[in-house]
Amino acid sequence: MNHELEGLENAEVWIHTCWGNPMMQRVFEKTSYANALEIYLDRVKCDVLTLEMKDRAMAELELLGAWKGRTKKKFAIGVVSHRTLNAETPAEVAGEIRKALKYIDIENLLVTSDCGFGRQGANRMVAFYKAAATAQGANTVRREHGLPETYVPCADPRLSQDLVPATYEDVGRDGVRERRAPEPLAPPPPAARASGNGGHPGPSPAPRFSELMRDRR
Amino acid sequence: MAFTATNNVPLAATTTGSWPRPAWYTESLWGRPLDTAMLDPIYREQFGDALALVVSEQERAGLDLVTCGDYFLDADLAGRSWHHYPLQRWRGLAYDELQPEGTRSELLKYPPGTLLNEIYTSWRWPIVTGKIEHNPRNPLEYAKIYRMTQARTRKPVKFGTVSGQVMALFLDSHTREYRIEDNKRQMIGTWRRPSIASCENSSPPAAASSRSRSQPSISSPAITRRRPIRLTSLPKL
Repeated sequence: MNHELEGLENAEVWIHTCWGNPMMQRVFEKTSYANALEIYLDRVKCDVLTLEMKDRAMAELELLGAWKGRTKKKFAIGVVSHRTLNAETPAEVAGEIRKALKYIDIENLLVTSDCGFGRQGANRMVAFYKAAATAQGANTVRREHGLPETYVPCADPRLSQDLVPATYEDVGRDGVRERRAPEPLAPPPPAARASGNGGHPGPSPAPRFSELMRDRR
Repeated sequence: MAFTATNNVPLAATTTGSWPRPAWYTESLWGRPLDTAMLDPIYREQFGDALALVVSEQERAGLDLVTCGDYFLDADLAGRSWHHYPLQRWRGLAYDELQPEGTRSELLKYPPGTLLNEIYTSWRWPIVTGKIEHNPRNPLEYAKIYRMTQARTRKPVKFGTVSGQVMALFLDSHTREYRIEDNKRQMIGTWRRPSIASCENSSPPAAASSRSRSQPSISSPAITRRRPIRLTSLPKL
């Protein structure tokens, strides 16, 4: 391993330990890092060790405590599973990060998925919201520690793709929530720009699904 | 080695490995050199657009480090291309064959009637016919793929790939001269090749330049005995 890694002095080298991932399948019945940690952390020349944790119910986190304060290497902990289609929530991810922080200093902790989502695995939306949960969960814990957060565009209500009308009268109007947002982001919502009314939102001339259903009733 | 991407980013969030392809990304290399495929306008457009899409999605998800989603790999059965991509390109390997019982790894033996049995009996692998060597006519092009990805985002790109050791699990070594060291040497050569991309130590990252000052930014997963591992390197940005 070290022979292979020679010459990468100015690159950040991560080593991913993988338990197999063909079509989201579990390949091994027994998984343990116990015999490998000393090799990766004390003998292999790398910067970051990634560990599949979420799909292993965060097993063996306590083993990492032996290196707390002893290693400059970082741990990239899997906080979302690549083998389930259920997208973890940000709160769930934050909870897993808090567990990891019992054994890893926060400056040594990174968060990731256990492994990859593709290759006849999950679909894009599932992968996306698992990634979004990872980022939001990290932000939650950063906030608790007074650390700067990373902006998560998909969680910004001002950029929501679909806006829920505040009242029934607002149904069919565009940009309702943008007008009420305290600090609208630039550029303005495409719907407002395309209204042909100076950007002023107005009732849509198109028949609305709710109106059709109301007439039917 | 150095913390070029996660320095001063506690709890940096990223994803590991592959990202699901968009439905419209239907092209694959199927062993072709990347440069050859990039002469095909359809492949060129799909691959380039897919890279733009995957970094856009990961930025929108709020990740601190983004990836190329392994979009250079073929859309083949159960992700065989993860291991197969280098094997399709190195010299000293030939054919696509089903591993016989005698030389098949115990790790790949699952009973009929299971999904893993279907996967591992469907996957075909080359046999070793000679010394495994870098093929200048069909290089791995990791640096180019990294450059193409990094050019589409201001966030640092984490590039990952398989390392030499992991292929031993699948290769059928019919030649006595075969050594796992040959695999490893090819990966080393890939990283050190002078055409490999890197970025200036500035932010936002300039387009990758072969003349830049920093070291190659390439990664690779590998296996030590029974455990596959992935090596990933992050460029200095």
